[in-house]
Amino acid sequence: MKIFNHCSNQLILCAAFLFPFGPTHAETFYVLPTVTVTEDAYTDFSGWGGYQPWYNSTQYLNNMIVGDQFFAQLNSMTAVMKSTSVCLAPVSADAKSTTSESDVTSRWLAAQEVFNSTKNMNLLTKYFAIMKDLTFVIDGNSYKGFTVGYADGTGETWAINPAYATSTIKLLDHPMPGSLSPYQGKSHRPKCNAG
Amino acid sequence: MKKMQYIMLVTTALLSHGLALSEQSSKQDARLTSRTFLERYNEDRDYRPLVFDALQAPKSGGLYYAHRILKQCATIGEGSAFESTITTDAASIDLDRKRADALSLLKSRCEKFSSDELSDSYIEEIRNQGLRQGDPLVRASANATSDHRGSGEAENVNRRRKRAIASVMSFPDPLLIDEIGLRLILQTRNEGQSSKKSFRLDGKDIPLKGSGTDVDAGLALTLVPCKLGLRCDSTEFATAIQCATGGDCDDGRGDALRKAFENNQKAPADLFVRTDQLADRIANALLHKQKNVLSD
Repeated sequence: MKIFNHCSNQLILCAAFLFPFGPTHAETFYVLPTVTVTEDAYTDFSGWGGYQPWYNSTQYLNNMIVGDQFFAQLNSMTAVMKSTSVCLAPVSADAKSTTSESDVTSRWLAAQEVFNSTKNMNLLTKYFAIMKDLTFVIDGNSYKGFTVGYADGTGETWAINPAYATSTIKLLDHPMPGSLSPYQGKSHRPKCNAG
Repeated sequence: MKKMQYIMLVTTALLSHGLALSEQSSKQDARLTSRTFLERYNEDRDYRPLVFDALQAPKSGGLYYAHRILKQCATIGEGSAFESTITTDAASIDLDRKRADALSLLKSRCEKFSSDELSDSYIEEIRNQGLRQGDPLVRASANATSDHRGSGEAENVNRRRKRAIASVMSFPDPLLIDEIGLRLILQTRNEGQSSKKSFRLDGKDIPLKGSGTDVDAGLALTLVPCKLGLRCDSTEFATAIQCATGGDCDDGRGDALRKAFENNQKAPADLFVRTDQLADRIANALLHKQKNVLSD
């Protein structure tokens, strides 16, 4: 009511207030520029059991974030396993380009990033439930394992530091000996070349 | 008279400051302008206008911010995914409220992007454009993180650390520091057939212990972006998505770390304070270009 009383005295200003001439953030649809895509970032998804709309690499957690669908899909073993690939996890470009040819430190850093993202997505418990047999004894101590998929479709297993919650060292800094597995064509690991 | 002197002093200072700024390289400009993107990254509840503006400003680190934001939003998915059906349980009403808030925030920030804009190819092309158009933060990121298929591992790691330090000294942007992370302090030494990793800080080697009972330079590094302007409360992406997906709902990075220390019975009572102090020191070193803290 006050606005309209005030408006009767200052019509022009109020017209601008009530009927803004310019677009506002709330009304404007910001058209982002088109970019020319030079190549498909992901070269091979043939090993993942066919196309699944909520697994289209960038949106693998699409529906997982909310509601019943989220919890249903969270139960999916495949979804959990896919979160452990550098191709699909929201990790740095550096991690996404890590392959079996990269040096151990680079692989370790990439594996740590994937582990952190899996933890942030609250998928670790599910991962442990699925991979309950993936344990190792090193120097008399038992460790859980964490297998990471690299950009070339290979995979490698790292031992999880039991004190990871209070340490930078989420994974022990050397991989499990002999655990670097080659890409096997239509295996369960994707290849990617983003980065 | 005094008033006049003061006005002249201020005017002279402002003029000389302005001249100094104009004479400085585009590095400084990028630092200043990326700050506005950072503030909007912290505050905005709709990231689309921010990404729109950022894409117009490659020389100011805009493409780096656009790339980072789209990658985060891609994790969540496009707007159609947001059909929240959180049910309120009387026993966990506070936690549910936090989850609902986190979901609402993630939704409002990301729901206006289309699936094409959240595609890997679009996001990677923004990064490639950043490299081509000289986005200083994209270049600094690439400089600090690439190059890991060279000759020897130790040489690669140590060379990368030096590049990472140079990058963040030039552009102490919190998101850049967050991305580079451990690469800033990680070094490797060849020891016979194998290699040994350690942290390098204050010109000293710090062994990777991983026991969680002593000050951990890597954990301190995770707090450094917060010291440099990144809003690290419950609204930060990693914290919000952890809460939204059913994990812990922390009040932020510091809160999460403090709780983790409290849950570790072997951790000394002052461990968080000491870790935080180290984060302060690293942040200061970056701001004031004190190379001795990070460099050899």
